[in-house]
Amino acid sequence: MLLLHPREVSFLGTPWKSVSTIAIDRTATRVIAEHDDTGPHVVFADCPEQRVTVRVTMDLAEDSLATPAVGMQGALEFATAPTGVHATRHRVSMEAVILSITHEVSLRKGAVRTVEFLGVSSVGGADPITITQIGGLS
Amino acid sequence: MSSFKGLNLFGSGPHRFRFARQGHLVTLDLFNGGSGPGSTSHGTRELDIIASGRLVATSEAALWTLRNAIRAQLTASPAAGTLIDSAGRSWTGMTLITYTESDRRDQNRVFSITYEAHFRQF
Repeated sequence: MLLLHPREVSFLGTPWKSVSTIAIDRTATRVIAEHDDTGPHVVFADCPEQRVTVRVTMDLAEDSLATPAVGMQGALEFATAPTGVHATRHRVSMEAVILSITHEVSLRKGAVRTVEFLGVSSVGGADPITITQIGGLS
Repeated sequence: MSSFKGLNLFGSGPHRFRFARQGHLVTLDLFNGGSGPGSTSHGTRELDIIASGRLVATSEAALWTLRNAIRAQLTASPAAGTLIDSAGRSWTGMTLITYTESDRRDQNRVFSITYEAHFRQF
């Protein structure tokens, strides 16, 4: 899932400005790939352990000393930016822990900060990401 | 299809069969009143076969049914039956002596758990 120019981005209730992209990745951290006595190919596969990571990329126009700390946990929320008049808007929210905060400075991009989050669920069977419709026509 | 006593205990998921350790039971003479580095054979071991695999079900309850079906074969006194592997090879007079599961029950698309079932021909 990739969101360009998301709106109303906040973490722990604090608005984050100048967010350019939010990328949500889902990866399996443990893969079951079982074989049996009948031949060389996998006959059963599943992904019983997985993680949802979110990378928030924002543009920095000035010095920034107040950065969140690695390991902080809280509610990460943002809204999609509709590209058309009738587009549906959605709010995405999740409980997340900060894994890393990195910066990149270049002539082409300027100063860019990337914050990587790991989504956490209250129970293992629930997706950490909640998406709700907040406006527009479906 | 594999079976034990005609029951399809392992067919819900992938599984394999193998022999456990075969051959002579050997003890060191040093520990049996003797001396020196020699050893003595006490004859060949009983036939042991291990079925290992993964039980797979679409619900937690269905997986418990599969697990309990195997546990039900663990009786107080040995109750021998015929064990047939995936290739159709059969062994008579086999008894399920232990059933061991892995440390976790996996869940995503389906519910599953790995196991080892140890059979012996007493």
